Amino acid sequence: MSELEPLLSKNIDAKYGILIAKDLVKRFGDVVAVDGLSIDVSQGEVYCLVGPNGAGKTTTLRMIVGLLRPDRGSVVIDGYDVWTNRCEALMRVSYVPDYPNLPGYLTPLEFLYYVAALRGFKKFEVEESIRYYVDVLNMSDETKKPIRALSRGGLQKTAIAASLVVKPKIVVMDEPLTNIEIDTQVTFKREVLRLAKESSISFLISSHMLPLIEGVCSRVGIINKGKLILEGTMDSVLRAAGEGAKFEDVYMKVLGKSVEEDTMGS
Amino acid sequence: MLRKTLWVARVVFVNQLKSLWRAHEPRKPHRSPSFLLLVAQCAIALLLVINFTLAVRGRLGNLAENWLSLRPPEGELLSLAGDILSALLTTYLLTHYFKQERLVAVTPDFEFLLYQPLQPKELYAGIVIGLYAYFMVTFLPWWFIALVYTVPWLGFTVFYFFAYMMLADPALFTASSIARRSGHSSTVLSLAIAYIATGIVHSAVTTILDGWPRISPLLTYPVKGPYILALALCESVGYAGILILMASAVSTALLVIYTVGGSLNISDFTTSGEAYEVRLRQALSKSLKRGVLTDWPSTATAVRKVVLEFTVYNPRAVLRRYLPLLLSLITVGYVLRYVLSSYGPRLLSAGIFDYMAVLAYLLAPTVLGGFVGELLSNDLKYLWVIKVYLIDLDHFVKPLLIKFVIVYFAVSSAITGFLASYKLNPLIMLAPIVASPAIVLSVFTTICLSLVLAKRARYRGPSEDIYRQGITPALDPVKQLLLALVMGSGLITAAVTALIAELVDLGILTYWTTSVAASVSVGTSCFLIKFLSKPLAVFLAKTDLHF
Repeated sequence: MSELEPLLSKNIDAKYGILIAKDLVKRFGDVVAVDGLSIDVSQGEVYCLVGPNGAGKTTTLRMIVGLLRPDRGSVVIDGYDVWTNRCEALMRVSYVPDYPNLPGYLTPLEFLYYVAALRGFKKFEVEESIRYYVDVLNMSDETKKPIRALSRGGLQKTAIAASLVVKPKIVVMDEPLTNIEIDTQVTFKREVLRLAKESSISFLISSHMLPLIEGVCSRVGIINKGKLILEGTMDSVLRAAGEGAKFEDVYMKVLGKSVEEDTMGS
Repeated sequence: MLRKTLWVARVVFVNQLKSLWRAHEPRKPHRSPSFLLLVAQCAIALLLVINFTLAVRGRLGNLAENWLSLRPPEGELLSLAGDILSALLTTYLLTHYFKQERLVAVTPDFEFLLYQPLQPKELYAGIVIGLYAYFMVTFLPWWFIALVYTVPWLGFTVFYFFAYMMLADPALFTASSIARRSGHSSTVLSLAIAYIATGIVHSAVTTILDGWPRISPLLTYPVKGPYILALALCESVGYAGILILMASAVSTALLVIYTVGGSLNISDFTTSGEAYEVRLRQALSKSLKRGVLTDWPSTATAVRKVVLEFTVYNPRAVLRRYLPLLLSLITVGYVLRYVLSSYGPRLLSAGIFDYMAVLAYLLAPTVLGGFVGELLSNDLKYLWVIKVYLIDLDHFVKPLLIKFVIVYFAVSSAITGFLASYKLNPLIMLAPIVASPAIVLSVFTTICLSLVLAKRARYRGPSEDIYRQGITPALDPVKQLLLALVMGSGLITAAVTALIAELVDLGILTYWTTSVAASVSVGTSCFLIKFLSKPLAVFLAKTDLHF
C-alpha cells in the first residue's frame, strides 16, 4: 500500500475543474452514504469512479446532477452551483442513470428529440447528431418502437444517446454499459475518447467494468464507505502499484484484499 | 392430496392479501388482479342494487318468477337492466373461455408453486380455494352492510353467488382445456356462438311480439339462475344453510377439478410476468398508430404534449371515458327518479341509497388511486429526465396540474350530472365549476404527497416489474398515512362539491348567484394554478429523487 500512499485522497486543487464537488455529505437516516467526498473533473477528462456495491457512487452522481440534495458540501459545474444556480449549472451537464426510467409511450427517436427540446434545441440543431448517435449506438432497428418495448440494453442506449445529443460540457454516467452488447461497448469507448479529445467534453463514469475503466479513463477515483480513498491518473496509479500491475491489483490492494485471496475465496 | 391442495390454498390466500397493501395500480395492458376484483365487485353491486330494489318493493316472493318469466311486467326497467347485465355476463363467459387458449397466470408471489412436486389438479384446486378465501375476506364489508340493514340473507347471497362464480371459472377452464386437448375447441366455440345467437334471435322475436325490450332466458338464466336460487335458499334455510351452501360450492369446485383435472397439464399454467409479456406484445402490435413526432416547436409545447397527450389521462381518453360515464349517470339518475316517484319512501327507508353510496365508495378510491398510480407510474417515473434536462420546471408543473384538474373535474361533473338528472335541476351541473378552486388545491396536495410517496417507495424499476418481482411490499404506515391524506383531500373536495349542489338544490344559490360564483371560481382556479405552479416547481426541484 505504501507505494500508493501519494495517490491517496487529499484536498484537491479544484480551481480549473469543469466539475468541482466539495466535501459532499449525504445521510439516509442513520446511514452515511457519502462522507465528505470531493471530486474535480477537468475539461476533456474522463474520470472513473469505482468502488464496491454500496460505496456511495450512485448517491454521489445523483448529488452532482441535482437529483439528491447534499446534507453538506457543494457542486459547481463550469462555475455555477447546482443548487443556487440550478439552470446555468444543469445546462452544462447530462446524465445516464443506472436504471433509466424513460417515458414508455414515446419512441427512442421521439425521446431524443424531446430531450433536445427540453434543453431548448430546435430540430435542425440536433438532427444530424441524433442520426449519428442512433447509428453509432446500433439503435436503428429500435427507434420506432415504443420505449416500453425495449430491452434494458435498449433503454440504456437511448439514455446514453440522449446524454450526448444535448451538447453538454460534462456527461455523468452511472454504469452505462451494463446489458449493452459487446460491439456497442467498443464503439461507445471510442466515442467517449473522441468526444473528450476533439470536443473537450468531460465524462464522470461510475462502473464496475474493468475494460471500460482501463480503456477510457484518464483519471480514476476509488470510493469506499462514502469516502474517496484513492485518486490519480490511470498511468500514475498503475505505475505506483509496480511494474506490470493491472488496475484490479490496485483496486484489491486499496481495499485491503489480495487478488490471490479473492480468487481462492471464490 | 388434500393436504397439498390446502397448503397451496394457504400460500395463495396469504400472498393475495399482501397485494392489498400495494402502493399503486399498474394499468393497461397490465391489469392487476385487484383491478379485476374491483370490476367484479362493481358488476355484482349493480346486480345487488337491482335485486334489492325489487326485493324491498315486497315482491321477493315473486322475484324468481318475475326474473325467470318470459314476460316481465310492463315498464320493468330494472328487470330489463338486470337482464341485460346477466346476458352480457353470459356472453362473456361463454366466449371468453373458448375463443382462445387460456392459461392460469400465477403471480410472482406464488410462482414458486409451479416448480413444486404438485399435480396440476392439486395446484389448480389450491389456487381456486386460496382465491375464494381471499374474495370472501375482501367482500366482508358487503356482509356487514347487509347486516346493518337487517337483511343478512342479502350479504350471504353475495357469498354464495361468489362461490358460484368461483365454481364456474374452474369448470369452464377445465372444460376448455379438455376441448382444446381433444381438438374440439372450435366446435365448442361454434356451439357457444350458436347458443348465444339463438338467445339473441329469441330476444328479438319476443321484443317484436311484445313491443317492449325482452332478453331471452337463454342468455340471462346462466347468471341470474344461481342468484335466484341463492336468494330463495338463503331466505328459507337461514344462517346455517348458507354455510352449508358455501361449503358445498367449494366441495363441488374441488370435485370438478379432481374429476376432470387429469386433463390439466402444467403447460396450462404460466407466470403473470409471461402473461404480461404476451399482453404487452399484443398491445404493442396495435399501438403507435400516430406518426413518430420529432419536431417540437418549443420546450413548453414539447412538455405540454407529452404530459397532456401521451399519457393515460390525455384529453381524448378523458373525453372518451367521460361522455359514456356522464350519459350513464344521467340515465341512472333519471331511472331512479322514475322508480322513486312510485316507490320512494319504502326504497329510501330500506337503504337503497346507501348501496349507491357503497358504489361511490368503490369508485372514489379507484379514481384517487388512479391519480396517484398515474402520477407514480407515468409522470413521476421519469422525473429524473425532467429534473436533469428541463431547465424551467414551470413548463412541467403547469400541464401536470391542468391534466389532473381536468380529470377530477370530469369525474365530479359526471356525478353531479347524475344528481342534476335525478333532481331535474340542470343548475346543479355548475357545482363542480363553483368548487373548482377546491379541486385545484386537492390536485396540488395529491401531486405533493405523491412526490413524497415516490421518495418513500425508493422503487427504481419500471412499474410493470411488479409482475416480474412480485407484490410483497412491507406494510409501511407512513405510506398508508400519505395515501390517506390523498384520499382525505379528495373527500373534502367531494364534500364541498356536494354542499354546493345541495345549496343549489335548496334554492339558496340561485341561477344568478351560482353563475357569478362559477365565474369567480374559474378565475380563482386559473390564478391558483398560476400561483401554485411556482412553489410546486420549487418543491419538485428540492425534493430528493431516488428513482
